Amino acid sequence: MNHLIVAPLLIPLLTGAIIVLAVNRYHFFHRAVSLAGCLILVLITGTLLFQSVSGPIQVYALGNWAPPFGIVMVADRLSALMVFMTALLGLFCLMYAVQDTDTQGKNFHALYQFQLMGINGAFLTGDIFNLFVFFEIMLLASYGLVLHGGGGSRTRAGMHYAMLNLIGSSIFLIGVGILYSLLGTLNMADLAVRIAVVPPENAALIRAAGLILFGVFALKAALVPLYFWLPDTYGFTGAPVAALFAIMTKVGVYVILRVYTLIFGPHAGAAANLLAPWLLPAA
Amino acid sequence: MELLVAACVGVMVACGVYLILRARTFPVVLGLTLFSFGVNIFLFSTGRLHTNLPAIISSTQPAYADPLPQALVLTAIVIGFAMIAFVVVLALRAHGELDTDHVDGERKKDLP
Repeated sequence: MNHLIVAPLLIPLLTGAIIVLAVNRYHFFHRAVSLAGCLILVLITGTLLFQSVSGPIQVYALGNWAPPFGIVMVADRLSALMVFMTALLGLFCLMYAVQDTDTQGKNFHALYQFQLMGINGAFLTGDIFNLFVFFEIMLLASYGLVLHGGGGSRTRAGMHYAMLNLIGSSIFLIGVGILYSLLGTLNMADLAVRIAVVPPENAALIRAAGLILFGVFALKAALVPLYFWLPDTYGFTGAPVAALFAIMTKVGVYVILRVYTLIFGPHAGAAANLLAPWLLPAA
Repeated sequence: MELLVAACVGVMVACGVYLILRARTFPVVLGLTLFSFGVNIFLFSTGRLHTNLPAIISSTQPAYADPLPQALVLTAIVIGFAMIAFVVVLALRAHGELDTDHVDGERKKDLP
């Protein structure tokens, strides 16, 4: 197995953990570690992108548990490209942030690294419940980053953002629960295989689960009727944080692409091309 | 048992949604809590409802209870609890900074 696939998760996690250890001291140390972590991340994701441009789809089984039972990370061309873009954007936003924005609070760099970890995880995971977990890591770090610097309007926008995303996460769980109860698996590739042979009496429930999940992803991607949280949140937060958040809505777009071409694609039997009548009007 | 569990989930989600639509932060936080409780019980029942069955395959029992939803619901409870705790702290801070517990930050005298 290619261990580079899991590196985009481990490097921000380790960097963030090291920064947390020295939280009250050495601001210069925070900046140096954070920048070094971002630089290494760019190099590693660049290598990963270079490998996946020509090579096959790479699968990394966490803990070496065989795929339908364990959690897998998948690096194909799209996910490697997205992870590379995240790393690059993260590096440049950080270079801007170290000029003075990061001194407004002491946990900026640690939160920033955990945010990168969550985004990378959401791009690389091949398991739909694991996707939920990485969404939550990403969101929890982003709640902290939205509030970075403080102030009344930021607090208000951050509160709306946190509450909306909490509701979204709960609905995500409902969708995942329906899929699991009918198909008996959480691995995305395995879901795609099993959805093709779903009995006709369950077809309506599967379609409902697919559209529930679409609602959640559309909330994260800020598609048309669900974008009201975005202008306030992005407008009131700091510039480097808002720039990094630009890729967080892309996580929603990426997940829509991934789930609705892989699981609810043309091979999905009763739920084939589920999104075709909905996506264009919403986009 | 199915009817009881389904009614529990339905009532909790309905109460949760009602409370989330209130205009003060405290009912909203309570509503989010109720909503996530309802979702957790729903998630628990995705492995089908059984009683007195082991979580592993055993030679003496005719069937087994699916252990995966239990693991999922544990993860969901932990994450949900952390999020609720964060929202409580955020609501307190908003009350301190905006001097009101309205979710849009409007003062009492401005409201009709």
